[in-house]
Amino acid sequence: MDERSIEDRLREEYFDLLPKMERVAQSFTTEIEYLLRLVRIELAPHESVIVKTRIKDCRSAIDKLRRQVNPEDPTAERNPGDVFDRDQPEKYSLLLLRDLVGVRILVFPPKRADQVDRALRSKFGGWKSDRKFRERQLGYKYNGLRLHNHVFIPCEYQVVSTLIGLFWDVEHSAIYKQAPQLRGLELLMQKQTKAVYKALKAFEAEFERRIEKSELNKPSSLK
Amino acid sequence: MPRLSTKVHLLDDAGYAYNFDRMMYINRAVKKAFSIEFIDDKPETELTTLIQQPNQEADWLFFTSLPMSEGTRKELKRVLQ
Repeated sequence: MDERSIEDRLREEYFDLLPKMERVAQSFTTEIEYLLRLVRIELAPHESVIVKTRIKDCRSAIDKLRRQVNPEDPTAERNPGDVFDRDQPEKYSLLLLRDLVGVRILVFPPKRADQVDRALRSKFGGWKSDRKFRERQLGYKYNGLRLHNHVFIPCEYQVVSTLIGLFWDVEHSAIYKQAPQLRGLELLMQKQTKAVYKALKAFEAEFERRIEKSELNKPSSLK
Repeated sequence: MPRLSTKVHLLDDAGYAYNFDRMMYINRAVKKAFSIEFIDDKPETELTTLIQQPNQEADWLFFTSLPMSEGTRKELKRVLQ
């Protein structure tokens, strides 16, 4: 019988998977950059498309598994109490997570998001779309698997507005990276988070409106 | 349905405290815990009834929207001791 804790087994699994995740992250990013080359050519000087890649770190992968895997209902994607069922260690594997490797594409202005989405769907058409993410008007999010050395690594990519994506970075690094135990606070901050999204979207909409009405958007002969 | 933020006042007032790790409102004195999803799902009246209902058991009472395995329940009781 394996005497190690579930956490110890998962840490071992993580470092076994890490070289594969690194290779997948590299090839995934390269492929995305290639698919976006035609979008980039069309960008005006004030527009941008930024590709950011991350590999989930060991601690947050284990924490997420604890939060999400419900041994009583595998379809639930939420485990009340956020604890491991120590009677069923075989139920846990990091490969159950959907985003061991993640790519976030930040676009500005947000009207470019549809174009980026179309360019990527030409290659990743079979990936599963996150409908809730779309309904919350946060952008696009898809999950799929990429094969490396006989292992399917769960991957995710998101297409989001630059301002919202950078807000997530700041929020994450300022609060949750320092104190991961505060992650549970996110649910209680929904109202305030929605207010931030609303303000950032209003800023982007007004920015786009002003650009459209400005000389920048007029043919050079009319300037 | 009232927002989560208005319903959590019921728990605050009844001596429950939010536990970040467990994502539950917990009252150790009466050995009851409510998951955040449960609070979100249930109407205010039902929550009030459940909060006011005395815990007749010596054991913990967990109110969750999703099922919990016996092992999860056992581990949760252990970490809440």
